Amino acid sequence: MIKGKFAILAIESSCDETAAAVVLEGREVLSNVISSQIEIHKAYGGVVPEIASRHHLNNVNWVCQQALDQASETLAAMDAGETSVISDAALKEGGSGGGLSMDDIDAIAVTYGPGLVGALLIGLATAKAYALAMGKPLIGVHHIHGHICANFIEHKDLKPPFMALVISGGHTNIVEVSDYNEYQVLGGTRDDAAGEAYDKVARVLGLGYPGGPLIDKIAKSGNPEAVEFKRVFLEKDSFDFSFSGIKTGVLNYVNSEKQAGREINVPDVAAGFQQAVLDVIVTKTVTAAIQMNKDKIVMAGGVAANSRLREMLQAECDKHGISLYHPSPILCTDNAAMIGCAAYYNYKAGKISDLTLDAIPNLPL
Amino acid sequence: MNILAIETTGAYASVAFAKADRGHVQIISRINGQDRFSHLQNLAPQIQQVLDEANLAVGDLDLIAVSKGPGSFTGIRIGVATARALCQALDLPCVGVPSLEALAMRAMPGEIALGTGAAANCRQIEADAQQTSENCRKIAADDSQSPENGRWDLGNTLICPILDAKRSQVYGGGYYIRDGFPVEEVKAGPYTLEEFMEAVKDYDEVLFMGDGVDKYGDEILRVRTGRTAFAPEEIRYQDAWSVALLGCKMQTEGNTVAFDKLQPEYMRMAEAERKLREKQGK
Ligand SMILES: [Zn+2]
Repeated sequence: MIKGKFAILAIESSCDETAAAVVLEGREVLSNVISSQIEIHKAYGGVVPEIASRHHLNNVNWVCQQALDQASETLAAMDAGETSVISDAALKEGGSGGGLSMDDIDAIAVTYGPGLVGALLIGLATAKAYALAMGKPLIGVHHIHGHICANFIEHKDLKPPFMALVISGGHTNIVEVSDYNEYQVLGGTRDDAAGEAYDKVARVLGLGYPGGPLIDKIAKSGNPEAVEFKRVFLEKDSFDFSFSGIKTGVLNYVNSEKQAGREINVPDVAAGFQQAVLDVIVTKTVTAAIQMNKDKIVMAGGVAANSRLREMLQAECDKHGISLYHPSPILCTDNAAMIGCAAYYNYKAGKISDLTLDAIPNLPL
Repeated sequence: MNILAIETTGAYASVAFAKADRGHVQIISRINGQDRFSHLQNLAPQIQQVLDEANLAVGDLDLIAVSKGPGSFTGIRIGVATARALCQALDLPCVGVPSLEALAMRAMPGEIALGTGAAANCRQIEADAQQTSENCRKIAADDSQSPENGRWDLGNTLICPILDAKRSQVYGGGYYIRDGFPVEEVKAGPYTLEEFMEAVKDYDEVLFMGDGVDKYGDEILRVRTGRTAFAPEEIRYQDAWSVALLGCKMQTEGNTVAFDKLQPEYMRMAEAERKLREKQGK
């Protein structure tokens, strides 16, 4: 216990970020350390699982140590009465302190899926060894639950029920959240995740990797109506997505323009593509909220940081009297604070894992 | 001194607990996993079980020895990550044991002499030539040296653990056992099978071990001219027993490291990295 509060050390390693955090009672983040490998994988145009796994192994112990050290600093700052600096201290880099140790931690939380199996297992092996060494409970967390729970950290008063839009490199889901531990998936992608479509289109347009932020940025200077790509809504009433058609549309457009010897206006194409993707996402998410009587929509996942998506969803929510929530960028990316938050609600519901906990790359929601 | 040994570089996770007292090492308990490549699920529970059998708590440990590779990349990582985290949380030193050397040690008869619990699972190579010839497939260079006539002298036998590295490659090395421990004779490293057979060509008596035997046994027999044996399955694969012994020796030689200095030994670059470097002409 730390200051009489249940303290969780959480570890996240499902893709290309090695992350660890110390979280009190689910919502109070004492530290949130993220070691990103994004620069390493840029050279390959995407995450290479074997390389990601090797870096996770190199980083994980140090990242956990940093999380404990920074949590100590945050506590010291709190003790000094500077309560207003908590979040700054928790998020800033560096720090060497000490003071807080594994003994102060009440449970170890770890992402066990979905994700890259070789990446997940580094976090899992580490978390299990900590749990075994310290005799503390182990709590396995679903990565997507974590993303949704990031909102509980950001918005202290937010409570279920609400509708969640989970949108990241690997996921595009509309999820009905009726309670802290009750998630019902209403729809998901039938082919590419939105983030994958972004990555592929960015590659075709020569923008580089990762595609999400690059397209979002360049699209700002483009005209979203200059090039029209077909929106794919699938069957009526379906909350599923399909993005491969839009992606192919962009590919075909770029090829035919090239063949005709015409210069491609990259900002216009990026804006047109993004508009087509986001139109579908926004429409379906708001429709789901209305149909299921939810007056709140919560955004989660890496692509939730996309500025255009936020604008469009906000405008649509305003029309229908729905409140929109999203986490700050640092909590949108893969991080361990969100895993610590989700783990707390698992723990309160009695959902504790044992040492046989396995990595499940395709863990369903 | 209480030593926990972890070996996950092969198909089965293996955990041993040993006690060392002035150079004498005794294996108190050992558990080998039953499921192929289920290290992540099995390792932590096996550690718990090994300690329970020895009536110990994690807090009683003094050293963690882990097989650091080469072998299965995933297996290496699970073992090293587990050892590191245990050492970090318990403030213990650890020792990274080369998997090929540890495997080579399984060829020595000492596996019986040193461990009580281990004895039942293990077999001797040198002491009983009759049994060796039953268990090992040998090809004599000529009839006068046929296995029925000659004893295998472990001191003159080159012990070659070879681990399947896919695409006709192996991680291999050649060792002589001296005073119960392996001494490197053929440098441990990644080889094509052809390269490795060339490297051991001039050794008259060679014992091959490891899952490379399963994969390349026929090919090895085809190209070998000297006496050749394959370790019987009971001692053919990686096992925490010898990781404990070798780890203990390394500890007495001052080769322990802090958890954050424990490095895996992959012996091979990630494939994507190799290709990228090739493309960049590095
Ligand atoms: Zn994520």
